[in-house]
Amino acid sequence: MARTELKRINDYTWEIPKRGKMRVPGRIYADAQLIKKIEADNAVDQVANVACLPGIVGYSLAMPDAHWGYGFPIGGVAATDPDNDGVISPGGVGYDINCGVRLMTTALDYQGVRDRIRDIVTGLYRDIPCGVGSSGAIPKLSTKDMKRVLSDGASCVVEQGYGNQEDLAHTEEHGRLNGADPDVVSERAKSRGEEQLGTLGSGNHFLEVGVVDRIENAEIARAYGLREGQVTLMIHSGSRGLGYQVCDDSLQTMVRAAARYGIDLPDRQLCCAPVKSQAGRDYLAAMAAAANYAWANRQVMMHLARISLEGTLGASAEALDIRLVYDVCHNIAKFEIHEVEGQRRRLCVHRKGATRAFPGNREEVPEAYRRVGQPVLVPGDMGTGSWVCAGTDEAMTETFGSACHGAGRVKSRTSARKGEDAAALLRELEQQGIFVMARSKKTVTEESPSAYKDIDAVTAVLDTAGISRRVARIRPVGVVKG
Amino acid sequence: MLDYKVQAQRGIMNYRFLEHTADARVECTGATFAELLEAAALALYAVAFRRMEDRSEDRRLISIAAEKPEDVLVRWLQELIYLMEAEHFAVTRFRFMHADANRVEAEVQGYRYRAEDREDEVKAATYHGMKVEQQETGWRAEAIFDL
Repeated sequence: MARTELKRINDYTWEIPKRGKMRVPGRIYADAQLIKKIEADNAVDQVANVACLPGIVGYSLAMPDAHWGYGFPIGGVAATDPDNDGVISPGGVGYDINCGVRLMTTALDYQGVRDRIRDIVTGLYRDIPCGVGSSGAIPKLSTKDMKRVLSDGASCVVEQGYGNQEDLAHTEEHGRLNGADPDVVSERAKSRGEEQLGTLGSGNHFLEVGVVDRIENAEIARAYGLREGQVTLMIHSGSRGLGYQVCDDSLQTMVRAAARYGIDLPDRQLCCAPVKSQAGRDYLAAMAAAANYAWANRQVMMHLARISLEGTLGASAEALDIRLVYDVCHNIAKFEIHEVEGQRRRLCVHRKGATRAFPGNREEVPEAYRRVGQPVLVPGDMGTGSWVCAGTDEAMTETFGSACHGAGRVKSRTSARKGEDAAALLRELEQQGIFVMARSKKTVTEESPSAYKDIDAVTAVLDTAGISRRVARIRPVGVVKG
Repeated sequence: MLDYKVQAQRGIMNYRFLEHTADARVECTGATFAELLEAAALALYAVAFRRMEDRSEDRRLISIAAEKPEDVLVRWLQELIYLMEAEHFAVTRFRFMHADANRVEAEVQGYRYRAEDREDEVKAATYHGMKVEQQETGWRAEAIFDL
C-alpha cells in the first residue's frame, strides 16, 4: 500500500480516508507532535490495512501511543460485526494474549518507607521470578491444574489461597473470560506454560513500586482508593510462553482459513476467519484460555508481592492493606455491546496494545466504580511515571470504549541501546530516586526512558479527546525488570 | 554444514539487522535454501543468546511442508523457537536431508543451554514483514521477531 495521507479532523484526531480495499476509514488520536512520531514508522499504513478486514465497523482506530506492530499497529483497535461476516484476527490480539497491567494500593506513605525502597525492590526481585524463560514461582502445574487455570483463570488460584474475592471483583471480567476451552490449546502451548505461572518474563514487562505524586480528579481518585504520597505497586505481564504458542498455532490455521473464505489480506499477519466459523470459534476458545492463564499469572504474582512486602517490612497483611485497584488487559478480543449508527450491536472488539475504557454505566465495570468509570491504567517508562485514568461516555462513541495502554515506543531497541550505558543509566535513575533491579543490562538500555514517548503528552490526548479522564499520576521509585 | 562458531570466526554470518521500532528485523541470505534457513536460525540465536557453546549432545528432527517459501521459513523459525523456549534446546549443527521452498527435512543437533546464557525472549517469528525471494545469486529473506 502506498504511503497513507492523513486528514486533520481536529487538534487530536486524524483520519485516513477510505480508499482502495479499506472498508471503513481510519482514525488516529494524537496531537501535532505525537502524530509526527506515529507517521515516522509504519503504524499509519497498518491502521489502513486493518480497515480492510471483513465485517469491520466504524473506524480502524489507533491510540496516541501507537507504533509499528505486526499486522495490527500496537495501539490498534478494531470492532467487527459477527452477524455481518465479521472476522476474528489473532494478529489483532497479539502473541502475548491478555498482556495487561494491575495496580495495587498500599497503606504505606512514601515518606515513611523511602529508606526501605531498596529493600522492598530487592525482596520483590528475589521473590517473583523474572527474566527470559523465568519459571518456578509455584510448583509445576499438573495436567488437571493446568486445565483448571485455563478454564477458570484467576478464581482458580484465589481458591488455592493466592489472593481474595475482592481481587477478583477488581479484575476485568473477574479474571475469567467465558468460552475458554482447554482442549483446543495445544500440548506445546501447555508445556510452555506449565512452569511459568507467577513469573514476570522479560522485555517491557515490569514490577514497579510507585508513589502517587499528583491527583487531578479528587473524587475519582477517592473512589479508586488513591491518595497523594501513597505507595503503589504495578505489575505488567501476560500469558507468557503459553499465550505466544496459542497465537503461533492459530496463525497457521488462520492463513489457511483466510484463503478458504476468500479473504484478501494486505498483510498475512492479519490472517483471520469469520467469528462464526470453526476456525474462528476455536481460536476464540484458545485465546480465552490463554487470557485466563494471564489473569492467574498476575494474580499469583500479586500474592507473591504481598508476601514479599510483609517479609521485608515485617508488617502484617492488615497493616500493609495491599488492595487491587484494577487489572486491565490490553491484548485481547472481546464481545461487547456497542451502539453503531443508532443500533445496539454485539461486536468483536480487538484491542492490540489498547485498554478498555468503559464509563460507570456499563455492567462490565466493578460495582465500586459504577459512579466514576473503569480505571484505565497507562504505564509510562521506568524513569517518568504512569497515569491512572477513568473511562468515559465519549470513549463509547469514539473508540468502542478504548484508550491507550502505555507511552508507546519511539526508538527501536537498537537505537535505544546506542550511546546508553546500563550502569550509568541505573546511576542516573537512582539519583532521581528510582532504584532499578534487572536481570539483563541490555533490557535496561532498551527500556531507557528516552525510548518511549512522553506519557504526559500521550494521556493529555486521552483527556482532551475525552476518551479517558486523567485521575492520578504515579511516579516510580523502584523497578524490577526481567 | 558449518556450525555457529565456525561461521562467526570466518565472519560469514549471512544475516544483518534492520531497523524496527519495537522488535528485531533481520535480513538473511544463502546460496541455497538450506543456507538461508541456517542464516535465519543464527539470526534468531543472535537475538536470543548472549553466548552459545559449541556442543551437540542431542538431536531433533524437523519436518515441514508448506505451499509458500515464506510459510516454510516462519514454520522453521517457529520450530526452533519452540525447542528453545519449551525444551531449552539450542541448535549448533544443521543437517538438511531435504530443503527447498516447499519442504524441509532436517536433523538438528544441539545442547540444553544454561538460563544465564539467554539474552532476549523471542515470542515468535511473524508473518508480518516476512519476505523470501530467489535471486540470481541465491536466496534472500526478511523476517521480524516479536520480542
